[in-house]
Amino acid sequence: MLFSSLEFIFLFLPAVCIPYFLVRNTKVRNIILILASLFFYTFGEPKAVVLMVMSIVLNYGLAVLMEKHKSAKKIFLTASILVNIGLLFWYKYTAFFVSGINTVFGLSFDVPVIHLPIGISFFTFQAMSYVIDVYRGDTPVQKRLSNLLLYISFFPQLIAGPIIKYHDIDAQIEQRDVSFENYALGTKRFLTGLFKKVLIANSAGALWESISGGDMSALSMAGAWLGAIAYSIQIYFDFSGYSDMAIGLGKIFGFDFLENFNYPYISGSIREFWRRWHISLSTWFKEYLYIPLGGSRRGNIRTYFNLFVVFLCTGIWHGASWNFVIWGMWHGLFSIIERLGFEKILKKCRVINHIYTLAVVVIGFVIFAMTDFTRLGEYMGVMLLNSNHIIVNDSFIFDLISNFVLIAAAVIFSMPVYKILEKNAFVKKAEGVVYPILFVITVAYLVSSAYNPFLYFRF
Amino acid sequence: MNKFISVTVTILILALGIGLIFMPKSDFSENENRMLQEFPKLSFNDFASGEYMEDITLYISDHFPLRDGFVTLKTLFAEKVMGNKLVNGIYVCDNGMYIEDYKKPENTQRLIDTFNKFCKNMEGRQVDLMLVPTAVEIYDDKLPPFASPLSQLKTMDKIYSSVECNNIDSLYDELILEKEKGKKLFYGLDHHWTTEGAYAGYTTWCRAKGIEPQPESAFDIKTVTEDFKGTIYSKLNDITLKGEEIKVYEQDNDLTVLYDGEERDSLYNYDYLDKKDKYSLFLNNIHSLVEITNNSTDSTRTLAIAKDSYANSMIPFLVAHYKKIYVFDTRSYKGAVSDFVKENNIDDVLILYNMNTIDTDTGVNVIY
Repeated sequence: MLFSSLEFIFLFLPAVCIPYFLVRNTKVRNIILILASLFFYTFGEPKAVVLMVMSIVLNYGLAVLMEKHKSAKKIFLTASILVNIGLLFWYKYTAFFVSGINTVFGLSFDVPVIHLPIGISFFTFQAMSYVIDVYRGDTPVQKRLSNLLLYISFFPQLIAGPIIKYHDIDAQIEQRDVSFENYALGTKRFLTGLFKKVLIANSAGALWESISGGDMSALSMAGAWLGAIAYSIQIYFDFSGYSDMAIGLGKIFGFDFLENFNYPYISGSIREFWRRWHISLSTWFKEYLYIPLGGSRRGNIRTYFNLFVVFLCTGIWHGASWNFVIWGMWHGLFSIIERLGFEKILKKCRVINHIYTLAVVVIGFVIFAMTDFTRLGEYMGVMLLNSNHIIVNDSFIFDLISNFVLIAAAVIFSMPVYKILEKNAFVKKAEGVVYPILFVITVAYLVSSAYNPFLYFRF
Repeated sequence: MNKFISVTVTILILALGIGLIFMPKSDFSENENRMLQEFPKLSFNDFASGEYMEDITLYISDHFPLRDGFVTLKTLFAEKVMGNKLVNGIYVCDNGMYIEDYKKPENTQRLIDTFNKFCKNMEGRQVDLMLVPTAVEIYDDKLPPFASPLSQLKTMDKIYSSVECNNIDSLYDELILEKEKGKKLFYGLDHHWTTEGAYAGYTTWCRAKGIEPQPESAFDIKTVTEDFKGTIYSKLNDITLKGEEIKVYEQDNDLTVLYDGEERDSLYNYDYLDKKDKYSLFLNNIHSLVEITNNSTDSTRTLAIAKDSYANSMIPFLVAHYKKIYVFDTRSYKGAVSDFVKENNIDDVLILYNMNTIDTDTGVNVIY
C-alpha cells in the first residue's frame, strides 16, 4: 500500500486517525499505531510480517541480554548484527552472490529465487541502529517490547525510510506533542510530498520510460540527456516526495523525524551532494560504519579506504546488481578526487562547480537506472559520444515542448525558491486555495492511472 | 493557513471516503468497455499471496466516487496546464483534432509468416491483402509540431515486400487523394475509418480487381447519429467533448444475412445507436461467421474475407459485386478459413486489417 494510493489516503488514514485522536492516552495511541503498522505491512507483504516481528523480538531480546550481562555485551552485539546483516543478505543478495560466484569461478550453482520483502533494507538498519545505540550507552535499553515494535514497524517510515536512528526518536515514543498545530503542519507536509510524487515524479518517469525504452538507434544526443534529466527528476521527486509524506505522517501523529533531503541538486560538489541526498542513509553509514572504521583519524590511506568502503556499501544497499555497485564507486571516485584537493579548485569556479556536480550526478543516475549493461552501454554511447551522430531531432523537440511545464516546475522546486516565497503573506494566503485544488488534481491523476479502457477486445 | 488547508483536505478525504464506501456501485463501465472489479472473496491462499489485497486496490480505483469526472479533470489538466501533447497515447493537435499514436510493432515477422502460410494453404488461389494506414499516417500534417510517430508505411512495406499475396498497396495514395478533396476519412474520436474512408478503400479494391466501382450516387447516404463517442473519446474520457456523426451508405438490395446462423435482412443493426459503441451497427458487431447472400444480383461470384472491424463498414459496398460473401472473425471461428474456401470453391479471398491494431490483434494470428 503506497502512500500515494487511493486506499491509503481515503480508507487507511481515516481509519487510523479517527481512533488515534479520539483517545488521549499515549500508550493506547501507541497500540493503535502498532496495529495500524502491522496491518499496513500485512497488506503489502502478508508472508514477511512474521519475519519482521520475529526480527524485532530477537533484537529486543539481545539488547536486554546486553544490559544484563555487561561483560559479554560485545557477543550480543555481534549476534544481533550477524542476524540483521544475515537476514538482509539472505533475502536481498543470495541470488546476486551465487550468480557472481558462478561467473567468477565458472560454476553453475542453481541461482535461487528469493522474494525480497518490502522494507527489509530499512527495518534491518533501524534494528541495528537500536542495538548499537544501546551497546554504546547512547540510549538506555528499551524495556517495553511494544515500544521497540513501534520504533521499527511504524508505517510512515517502514517501507521507504527515512531510516530513523533510535537515539533520535526514543524519547518521543512515550512522550510527544499530539496537537492540531502538528496535525495541520503534518497534513501540509504530506500533501507536498504527494504532489511531488504524483504530479512530477510519475510524469518525469513516463518521459524517461518512453525515451530509454524506445528505439535506441533513433535516439539523439539531446534526447539522451533529456531522458537522463527526466530520470534524475523522477528519482529525486519520488524519493524526497516519499520522505516528505513520511515526515508529514510522523508529524500528524506527533513525531519529529529528521530531514532526509536538503535540495541536493544545488550542490557544488559530490561531497556536498551526499550531505544533502538521502541524509538518513549517509549519516547512518557515517555513524555506524565510517566512524567505527576509524573515519579520517587514522591517516590518509586509511581514510580513503574507509570512504571507498562506505560508498561501496551505499551502492550495494540500493540493490543487488552490479550497476548499483558501479554507481556507488562512481560517487566514491569523485568524492576521493575532491578530497584530494579538487574541491578547493571547485570552490573558486562558482558556476562550473554546479555544472560539474549535476553532470556527475545525472550520468550516475543513468548507471543507477539501467541494470542491462548492453543497453546502458548503448545509452551512454549516445549520451556522451554522440554515437548515433544525431545531436537533435524532432522527437527530442517534441518531448521538450510536451514536457516543458513539467521540467520547468521540477527545476524550480529543486531549488530553495519556494522556501523563500512561502514566507510571503500573499503566498501564504494563496496556499489555502492552491493546496486543496492540487489535492483534487492529484486524486484525478491517481484515479486516472487505474482508468484502463479495454477497447479492442471486441474487435 | 495550514489549519485551513488541513481542515479542507480532511473534509474532502472524509467525504470521498464515505462516498467510496456507501455509494452504489455499477458492474460494467460502458466507457471502458469492460467489467469492473468485483469485491474479492476472502480466501487464505489469495490473502497469503497478496492477490486479495491487489483485488481490493483494483476494486477501490474502479468504484471511486465521481470517477469519470476525475478522469476528465486529469485529461484537461494534462492538456491545458501541463501542455502535454500526447495524452494516453493520443496526440492533442492544435486544431482540436485527436489522433491516436502508432505503437512500436512487435509482431511484424509473425504476421508475415501467418499471411504466407495462409496464402500457401490456398493452393494457387489468389489472396488479396489490403492493409489500411490510419489517421496518424494520413493526417500526419495535422499532428502537433515536431511529433514524429513511428511510420506505419515502413511496417506495411516490410509486410508487402515479404508476402506472396496480391498486395493492394495503392490505398495510401488513394486516401491521401481523397483527404485533399476535403473528405473526413477517419473519426475524430474513434479509431475506425468513416464510411467515406471505407468507400475510398472500396474504390481502391475495385481498381486493383479491375472492377468499375459504383459511384457514391448509387447509395442513399444517411446520417444515423450525431452523437458517436468512440474509443479515442474513451481513452481521453473528456466529458466536455461533443460526439460526431456516423453516415451510412444504404442501397436497395434483397439480402439474406446469416449472423452465426441467425437470419436478418440487413447489414446494419441500428439497436447499437442506443449504446455507446455505435460503430458496432455495421454488420451487427462481431460474429464468427457472417454469410451474406445477395438475391438481387446476377453475379455468381463468391468472396471470403478475413478481417478486423474496419471491414465491417466496407462490406456494404462489396455486396453488389457478389452472390455470396463469407465474413470470418478468426478469433471465434473454429476451423481453417483456407479449408472453407477450398471446400466451397470460393472465387475471391480478401484479407483486410488496419495498421493501428493489427500488431496486437488476436484474430490475425490464427488465420490459416
